Amino acid sequence: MTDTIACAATDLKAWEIGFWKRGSFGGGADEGVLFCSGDPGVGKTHLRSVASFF
Amino acid sequence: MLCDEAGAGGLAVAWLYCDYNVQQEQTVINLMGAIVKQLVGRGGIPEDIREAFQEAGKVGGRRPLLAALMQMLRIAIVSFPQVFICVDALDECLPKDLPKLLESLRDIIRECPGTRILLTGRPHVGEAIQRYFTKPVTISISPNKVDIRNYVVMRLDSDDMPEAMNDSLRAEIVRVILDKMSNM
Repeated sequence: MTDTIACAATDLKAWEIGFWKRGSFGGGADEGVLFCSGDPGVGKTHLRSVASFF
Repeated sequence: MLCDEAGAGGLAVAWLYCDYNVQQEQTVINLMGAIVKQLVGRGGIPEDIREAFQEAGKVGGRRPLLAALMQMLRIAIVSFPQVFICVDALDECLPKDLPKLLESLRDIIRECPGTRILLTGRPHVGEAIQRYFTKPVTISISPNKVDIRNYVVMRLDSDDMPEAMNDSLRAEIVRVILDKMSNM
């Protein structure tokens, strides 16, 4: 991973990503949506490439 | 990576980047069309989609309407074990197009519940997302001070003019950057 990706990844909650991928919240189809919010430059765009690490 | 898994496991990944500089071209039809194109471009074009394009072509050669694209997207999605759709920088989508884009994504995920949608954007766009998805998984991304410090130190260590920087300046650079980050 690059340093920038590592920066974003350290703040991710692995279990949330895992539940999103598996759909295990019990909240219906909407739980299939993962929204990553943050200010410019915090690394949101890199999440596209790190989400599957979890 | 999802794309690596896509190659090995048969799942499909389609992604969009909403670009502020080309907002006018990034209509909902164009965006959804781009997703369809990525999914059907991975293999042979399903016959249903081929027929839909041929039908659209009979009416003065016009491009498919949103409803037709959505139908193509459903056909494409069910042809994969699982589909991930990533929409980056949602806040850069034109405000007039955002509701229809979210509505289209909502329709897809409700009709094809195995689909996974990753959205990124500035915090304010979360309100719009909440109007269309009642229980999205939400993660707030913020800079990590330790990571930023390590990154800055690494860049300073690899500076190609180290003689131009003494320890005092080096410490000042790190301090100012971390201070500015705290104000983000």
